[in-house]
Amino acid sequence: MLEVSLHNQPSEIAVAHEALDRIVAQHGLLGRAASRLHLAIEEHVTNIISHGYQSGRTGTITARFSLEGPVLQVEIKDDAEAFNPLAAPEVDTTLPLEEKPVGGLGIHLIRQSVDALEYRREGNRNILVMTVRVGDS
Amino acid sequence: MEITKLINGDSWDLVVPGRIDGAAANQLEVEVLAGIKAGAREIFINLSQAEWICSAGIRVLLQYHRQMKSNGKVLLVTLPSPGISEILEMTGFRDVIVERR
Repeated sequence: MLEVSLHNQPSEIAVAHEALDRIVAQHGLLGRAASRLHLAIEEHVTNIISHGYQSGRTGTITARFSLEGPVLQVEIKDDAEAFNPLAAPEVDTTLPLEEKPVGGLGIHLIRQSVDALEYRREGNRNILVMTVRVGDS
Repeated sequence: MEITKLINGDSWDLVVPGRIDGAAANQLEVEVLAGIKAGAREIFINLSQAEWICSAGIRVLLQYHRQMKSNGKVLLVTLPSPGISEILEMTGFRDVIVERR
């Protein structure tokens, strides 16, 4: 129901956050579900921008939001190199401090924050669909 | 995003509000480095008004927690909001970097 487009620049991640804010305000969504989706968007779009494009290449990232009942979803599509975040290895967060890994934290937070996660590749596009249930806090 | 600094001798409190995204994480690092350079013995990162923190922000907290600790000093998160607590819990770092009360 709401789609925005941004370039692969960190300063443009705000475009996606603002779109989600508009939906939250429009529908009076309560609880922390939207915050969890904001975090997942921050992590995923940051990863796309940081790792997805060869230096200097401009790219386009779109975020399409939808709300159906309590299900709030965003589909993030990018034209970066093929990458499936779901295929990344799980992070072991129980290790002692000295061994705690900091790499892979972003994907870990995405997995933990959203209620459902789906990846597919279509042509030269990566598509990640992230879903949260609103109202469950 | 405005970080509020409360300095009491060599004890610093940084109050970080709202959404700690990549840009805010950089800002936080600048403030922490200022504290370290000024000789702070303890730096408390008050996250009572923060909504969420991204992995870049968590890496800043962890890096400087370890650095301060190795110098016999302290850097800890205080009064994490429920949203922040939840995120730190996800990473397994909550017990490490949150002040025990």
